Amino acid sequence: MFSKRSLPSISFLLVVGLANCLLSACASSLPVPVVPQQIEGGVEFSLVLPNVQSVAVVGDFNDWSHMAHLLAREDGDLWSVVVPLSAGEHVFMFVVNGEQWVVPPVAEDYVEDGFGQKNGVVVVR
Amino acid sequence: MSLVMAVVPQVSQAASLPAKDVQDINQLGQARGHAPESINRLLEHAQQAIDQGLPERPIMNKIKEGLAKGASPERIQPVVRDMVGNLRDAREVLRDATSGSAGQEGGGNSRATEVMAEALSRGVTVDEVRSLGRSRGQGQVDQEALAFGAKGLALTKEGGVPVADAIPVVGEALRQGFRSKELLDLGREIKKRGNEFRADRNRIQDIKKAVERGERPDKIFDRDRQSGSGRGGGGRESRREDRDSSKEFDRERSGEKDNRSGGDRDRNRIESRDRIDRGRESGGNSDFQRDRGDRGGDSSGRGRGGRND
Repeated sequence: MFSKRSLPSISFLLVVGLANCLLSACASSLPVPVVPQQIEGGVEFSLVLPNVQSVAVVGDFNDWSHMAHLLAREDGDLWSVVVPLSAGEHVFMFVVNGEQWVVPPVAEDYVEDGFGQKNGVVVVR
Repeated sequence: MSLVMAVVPQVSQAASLPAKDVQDINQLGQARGHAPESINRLLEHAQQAIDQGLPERPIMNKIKEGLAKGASPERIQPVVRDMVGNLRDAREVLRDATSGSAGQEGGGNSRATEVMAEALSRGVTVDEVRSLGRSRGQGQVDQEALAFGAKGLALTKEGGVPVADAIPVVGEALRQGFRSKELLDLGREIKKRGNEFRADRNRIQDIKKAVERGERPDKIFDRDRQSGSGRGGGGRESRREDRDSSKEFDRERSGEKDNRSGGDRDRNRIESRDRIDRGRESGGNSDFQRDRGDRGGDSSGRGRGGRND
């Protein structure tokens, strides 16, 4: 049915197609970046994540507790919370579904956490 | 419950550590199923810090962070050990650099020690700190200024600027009396523009000249920006701009949602959001402006003062 010559190109197309499907599936759960913004009452942390049950922001300001500052689902897949923070620098991450630690997609700066990941840095002025 | 009771007596071993922190750490360790002995070994590092007159706060925080992230005590151990080492080195280098300065002996400034330790952990060497102190020139050396200068230097190095170029810039900033947050802003802005500085080494000289003229980071990195776009002008309006940017970003996002195809796309998305906000902030007039970071804090709270002032 296929010539020997055409087999490699068909295989290539199959691999590309499969990779595309996998990447699309993965991409659908990728967080969309929103930079923490200083607003009245604190700093607003936001994250757009589809198909998740809970999102928490954790950091040195709440003893890394994923129970302290849960984001509320605002609009569709947008989650956000305003956290009162003192002036200075704070490091943070997100915890999704109470167990999955997510490096902030966008932050003012990043710093190695010593455990193989990066913490986001938010600067409160 | 019985485990909690079993852990509590061991708290006395670390009596001078803040009891609440010890309790939190023990509970975290217990929740993760770690043996109380292994948690105690971690607390010993914090105790050592206290015994040596070093601030224990960053160590306690790092232990909590590690446990919360699911790291084993064995994995946390070297991290906090390094941290204690950096705190010790930080105090030493601060003592050396400020010896003879009135009121600076003893390394009693915890904040300066913590900031200097962070600078060391981020790749600044003790020799570089000494060079920085020397490049500052004559006059009384302030521990906090030196510590924040070192952290600014760390950020500048992270931006890929050769240390030989970075030290004179930060040294000049110290000489010009930059405040703590200005020293950090300087480093952070340079880090953000790392590509620019790596591509053209003269750019860092331009920054140095601007610092010599006494210009502060907000002016240096924002020189072409028109007034009234939010910086220093009060938060509400600029926050609205930021909000609008977010909405615009979300609209853009919804249009793209079905086309996502992986990490690179996600990265593009990050950049695209940055571009939107930067463009809004600056009117998109120049590369300099366009490269400005997307910082809600900048636009809404600058001038409010705080810990770094």
